[in-house]
Amino acid sequence: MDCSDGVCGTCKGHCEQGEFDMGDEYLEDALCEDSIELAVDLDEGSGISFLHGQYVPISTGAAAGLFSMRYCWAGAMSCIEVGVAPRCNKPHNVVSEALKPEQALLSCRLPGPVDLVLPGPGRHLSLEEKEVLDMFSDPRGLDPARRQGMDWIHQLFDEMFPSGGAADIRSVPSGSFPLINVGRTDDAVRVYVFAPGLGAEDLEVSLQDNVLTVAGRREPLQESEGRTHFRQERFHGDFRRAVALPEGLDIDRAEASFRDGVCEVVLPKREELKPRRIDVQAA
Amino acid sequence: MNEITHRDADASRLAEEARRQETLLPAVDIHEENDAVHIVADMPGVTRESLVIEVDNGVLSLEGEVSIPMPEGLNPLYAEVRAQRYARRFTLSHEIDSESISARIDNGVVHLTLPRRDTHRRRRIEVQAA
Repeated sequence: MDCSDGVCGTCKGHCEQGEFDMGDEYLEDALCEDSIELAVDLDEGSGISFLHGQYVPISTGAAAGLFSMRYCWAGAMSCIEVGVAPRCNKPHNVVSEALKPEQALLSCRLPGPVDLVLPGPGRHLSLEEKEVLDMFSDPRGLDPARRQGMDWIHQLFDEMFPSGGAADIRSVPSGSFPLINVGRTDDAVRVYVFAPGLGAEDLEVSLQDNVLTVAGRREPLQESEGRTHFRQERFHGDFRRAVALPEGLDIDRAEASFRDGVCEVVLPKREELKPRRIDVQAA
Repeated sequence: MNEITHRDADASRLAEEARRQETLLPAVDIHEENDAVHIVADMPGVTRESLVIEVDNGVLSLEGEVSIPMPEGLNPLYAEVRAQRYARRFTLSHEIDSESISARIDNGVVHLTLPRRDTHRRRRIEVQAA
């Protein structure tokens, strides 16, 4: 089961403006008793609660808030406590720890032109960030509480119980070689490709239309007689991975460097798209 | 504070500790050749200074910190590698000579050679004609 089955109710939220359609697939227990009736009767800006993993916004400019946030069981959402639901007086999802706003990553599927507004200490998620996160729809991969050595179990379960949601067209099974991290600072986007055993000449990094492609080949050790193999976990052979990058990067000034088996690709943002501070004038 | 609150506090503290110590398991190839066991481990981002290899009581531990210089204020957009440490342990049988284990690291790949003791090397036994 995953977020599209609407069972755990962690992602309960309320509609702040616009309209949402909950669909049919969710467990009523996932919403508290008072909000079940409210969820069925969606209305504009009336503070109705629903499940973020389920909703589909059906009007442009729809915005939603979240009651509380934490990593839900599927690892899909991370949340910050924001308070009691406005309509029913029960506290929802009281959390035992609060996360810093920077750690709030929303990765359940969120189609449609929606800006998520998090009341209180939350952070405004821009649409480009959601696009990058949605593309790699492997929510379990973002759960920090699990040791990454469990990747083989995740892969096994992904094969046995494929999730019904749409996976990104370029997504790969977790633990594929090479692993990639993408991070962002104010003036650039940095991509780290973890490719040990390869040098600058073995890796081919190319960029086209905001898609960064990393390709190459890792040779196995020389074969020889009289060798007993106990374990062979390292990847050998050809590989090719592609990641889609956010808009607004200056491709001509991109640079790549290799160090200790990690290739760092720096893509500076275009000048006009860097965050700018706006001075507030006294009236 | 009742029992349930106490248990929740413990669970969240354990989860916090687990998060802080989260480690990656490096992928290894192990093969035996020429009277020595060879281990090749993938540990990208680990340098000679941050690599720690120890043998203690027959247990070989391979640990390394990911030391990639990253700028301040880097916000993760997508992360497949979410831990800062690699760690893996193996038990060694007594025929491995722990004193003469050698290692080298090259481009994020660690090569370990664990030679067998002289007394335990493979010996061919001559067959006498009757």
